[in-house]
Amino acid sequence: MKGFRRKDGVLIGRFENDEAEILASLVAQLVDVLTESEGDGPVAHDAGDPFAAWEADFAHAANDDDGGEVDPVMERLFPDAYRDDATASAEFRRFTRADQLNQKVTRAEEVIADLRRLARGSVQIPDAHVDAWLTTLTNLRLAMAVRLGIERAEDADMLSNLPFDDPRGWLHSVYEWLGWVQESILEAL
Amino acid sequence: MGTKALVADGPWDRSRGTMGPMPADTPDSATPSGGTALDERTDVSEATQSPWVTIVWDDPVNLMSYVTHVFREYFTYPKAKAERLMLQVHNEGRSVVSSGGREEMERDVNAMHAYGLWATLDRAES
Repeated sequence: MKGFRRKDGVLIGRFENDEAEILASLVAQLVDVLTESEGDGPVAHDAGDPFAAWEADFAHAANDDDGGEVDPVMERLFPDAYRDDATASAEFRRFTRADQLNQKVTRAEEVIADLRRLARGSVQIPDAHVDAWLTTLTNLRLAMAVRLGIERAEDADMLSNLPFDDPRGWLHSVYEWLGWVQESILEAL
Repeated sequence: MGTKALVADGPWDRSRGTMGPMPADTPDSATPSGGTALDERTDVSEATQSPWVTIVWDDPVNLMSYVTHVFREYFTYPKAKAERLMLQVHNEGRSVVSSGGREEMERDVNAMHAYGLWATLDRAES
């Protein structure tokens, strides 16, 4: 991918086909995680999907709340509003969560739609979709960071030095690439 | 600020910050709420118009440039102020980014969460 540039109210970025597909797939999985956690149950996974394992892991954790356990990804995407007041945090969540969730899903779907319109390797982001892209890339990176165990800057450093065959290596390189895409959008604004 | 280097080892890696020193445009108060004339008999904590604050916490995921972008876009802070607050989050682990009534701060926290930033509200001075 080459960085985005802005022309006539539209950001234009050149993506390789597989880059656009990977991103669309990841964003679709984010939507699944967001919606599955609301109790709809897991959707069927395509066995040939290279992301299925990652998604299944996501979905498993998201649905494994019988014992009152909260998926750390959802916890990070919907954090407590009060640091030392669980009751007030729960109340806050009760009033805000549905809208937050709808917005995250809607924005993710806008990103997928822009990616589906990929023409001749060019992704076009209208100004009206820039927030959708920035926040969706953020949500995706937050979710992946939880799965990768990135809690401090040092964790990210450690992940940069993984052996080639470590399964986290691929996820981490995608995570870094997403950050690069986001940075590129910000610089083009 | 560099594009690729920033992302390579985590956006919050201090050693990678290429931003120059920020002008100290305003002191601690993050809100342009203005001075309130206090009745001399009134306790300051009761009289203040901003008993709650929104705090943004450091996290290793969000890019410095994105955090600055959020502060500029949502709070409409000037670039220098947005960058100063971002650097405070980065260097000190947290920053008070707005203050006001409780409902207002819940709105701000909700907005920060929508952007993916880690934010909480708290009583001022606590």
